[in-house]
Amino acid sequence: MSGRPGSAMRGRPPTGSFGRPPSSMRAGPPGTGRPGTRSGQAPVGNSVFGSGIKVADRPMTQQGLGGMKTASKGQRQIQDRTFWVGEVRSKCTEISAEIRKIESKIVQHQEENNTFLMFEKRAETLAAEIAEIQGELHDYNMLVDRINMNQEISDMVEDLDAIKVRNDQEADSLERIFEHKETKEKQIAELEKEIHRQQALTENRVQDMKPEMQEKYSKLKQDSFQTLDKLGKLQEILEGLNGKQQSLELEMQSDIIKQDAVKLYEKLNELNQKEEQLLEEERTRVSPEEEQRQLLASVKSHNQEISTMDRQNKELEEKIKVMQEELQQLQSELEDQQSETTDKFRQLQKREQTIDEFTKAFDDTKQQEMQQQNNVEESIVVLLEQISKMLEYGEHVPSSDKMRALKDDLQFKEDELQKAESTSTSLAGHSSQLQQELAKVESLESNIDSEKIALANDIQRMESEIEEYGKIDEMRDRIEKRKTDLDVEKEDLEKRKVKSYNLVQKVTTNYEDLNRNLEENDAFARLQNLEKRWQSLEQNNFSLKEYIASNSVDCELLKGEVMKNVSETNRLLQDLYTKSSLLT
Amino acid sequence: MFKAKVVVVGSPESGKSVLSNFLGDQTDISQSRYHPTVGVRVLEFETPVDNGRTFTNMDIELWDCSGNENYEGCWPAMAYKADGVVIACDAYKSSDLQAVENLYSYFVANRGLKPTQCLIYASCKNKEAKTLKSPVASVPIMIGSTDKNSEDLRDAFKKFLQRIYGKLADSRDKEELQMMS
Repeated sequence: MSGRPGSAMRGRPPTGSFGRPPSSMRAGPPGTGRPGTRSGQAPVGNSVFGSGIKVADRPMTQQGLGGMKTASKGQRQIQDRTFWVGEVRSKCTEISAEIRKIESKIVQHQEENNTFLMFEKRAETLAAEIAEIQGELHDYNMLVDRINMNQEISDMVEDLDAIKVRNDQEADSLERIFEHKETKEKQIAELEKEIHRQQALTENRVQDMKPEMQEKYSKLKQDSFQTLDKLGKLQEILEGLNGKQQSLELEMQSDIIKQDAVKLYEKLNELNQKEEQLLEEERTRVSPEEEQRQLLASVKSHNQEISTMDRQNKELEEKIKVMQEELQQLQSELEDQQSETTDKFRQLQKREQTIDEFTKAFDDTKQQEMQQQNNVEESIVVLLEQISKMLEYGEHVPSSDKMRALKDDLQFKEDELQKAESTSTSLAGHSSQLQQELAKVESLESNIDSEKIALANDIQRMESEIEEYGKIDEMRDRIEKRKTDLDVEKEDLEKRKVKSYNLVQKVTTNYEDLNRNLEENDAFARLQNLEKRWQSLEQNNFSLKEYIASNSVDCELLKGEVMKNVSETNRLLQDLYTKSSLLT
Repeated sequence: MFKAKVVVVGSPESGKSVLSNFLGDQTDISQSRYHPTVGVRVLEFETPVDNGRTFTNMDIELWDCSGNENYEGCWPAMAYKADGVVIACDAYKSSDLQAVENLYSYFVANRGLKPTQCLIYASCKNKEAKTLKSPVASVPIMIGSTDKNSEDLRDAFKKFLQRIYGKLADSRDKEELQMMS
């Protein structure tokens, strides 16, 4: 309110108690040819305005004057000329001082005014800045809120994008609306121009008219003006009444009983209307018989109408049937024709296709056919050659009689052959048998041969034996001689036997003597014991040797290593020792 | 109804295939370019023959044989059981006329066929017809080309077929008689 003090002062009175300002005041733009409303409103505003000024001004002047009056009281008693002059002078000086003071104040005020304008400008800019910053702050606050609400920044960015898009769209729509508005304004201007033109035209026409008509026109115009005035007045009255009604309604809202009364009045009105309606019905009603007659008449007429309608309907249906049949016939004919043509068309298409295919595949098929022809020709030649050969052979074939004779011959010969074969097989069997026998005989022969040889040997031996046995006397002599020899030898040996027996006995006695001597000797016993012990020890030794041999390992390598380690450690120890000795 | 095997032989390019196509009422007579016959082409057709009293149909097996000497090995098959032989030659080639005699001896004389069962065809092609004496005496000759005096050729062939028909009828009668006796 403080930003626009002028308009408030001028256009709208400070009517705080009024619930609604008069509608005409809001709707009617200034200068639309309705002076009544303005004039009606003006006095009220003026009176309020005026009284306000008075109230504001009065205390200022009173204070200033009052102060002066109190100061002037209680001055000099004698009031001569000089006194007045002095008084006047003092007053003059006071006035001039006052004037100066006021002037300086004016200057100050002017300066202040200037500065005020500047400040105002600055304040405006600052206010704009503040508004901007406040908007920013609001944004930040919202951001913080969102972050506190655990919303992701990406979501916010998305929201921002969406809002941006919407803003752009809305800006676009705004621009469009603006353009629309501009075009509308242009249109309005054009229309106003048109109206003006039309008015001018009408005036021209009026001027062109006859004086009587002009008069009439002017009268009508005046009438229209008058009616317009009347309309305005009536509207004013209506507005007043509306205002009144509103105020009364407002008043009534506080009072429940009055509201009830209003409702009751409304009901009463409704009921009155109903009553009127009922009365009207009562007046129009007639007696039941008459009504019955009327109804009957109407029913009859309706029945007649219905029957006529039925008849018409039937006729129409028949017509429709006929027409439908015709239509079907026509359709079927059409279809037949179409199908025939389509069949022909299809056939032609097929033929065309086949022709196309033929032309396309002509080269291939031709080649194939040629190939086939060649193959056939080759086969023909082959067959012909074969046939020729067969025919050549056929020429050598004898006639049927000869053939028969030959066949008979063949038969006979075959029989012969069979016989010969059977004999040959039997002979073969015989021969095999004989062969077996031969083998047996041969084996016998070999046996006989061997026997023969053995017998021959026997014969030879026997012959030699016979020879030998032939000299029996000689043999007897020889045997005798040998017998004597042997007897001599026997005697000799017996002699030797006795001798040796004696010798043996002698030796045994000797031996027994010696043995007895030995057993009697202690040394011999000891020696025997020692011998036994030695034997046992020897045995022990042998067993130990075996044990060692079984348990001994080839330790040459290990030995070498160990020796090396030992030598090394020795060297190290020596070194250490020498070093320690050197250090000490 | 008789079935006759008629062999068409002759030197190469003497017009055997053209004659065969013409006699066998084949469609592609003269338009097609020259294509040497490989081995043999067998055309089968029926033709009425005047047997003195009435016309009887006769099945003709027309063997259009190759004139190439490479197929001499096939000759026995071609000549086998032939009822009639047409020897073709180029009327303007003396070598062909000599070859006719060889062919005649192979296909006709050696096969026990009568001279009446043979026909010599001297083709003139696009040249003028000229009178020729038959290279083999007692064998009828027909001169001309399928383009010019086609009707003459047809008549000559008809007569030839009549002769064959007569032979066939005779042989059949003989066979019947043999069977009867």
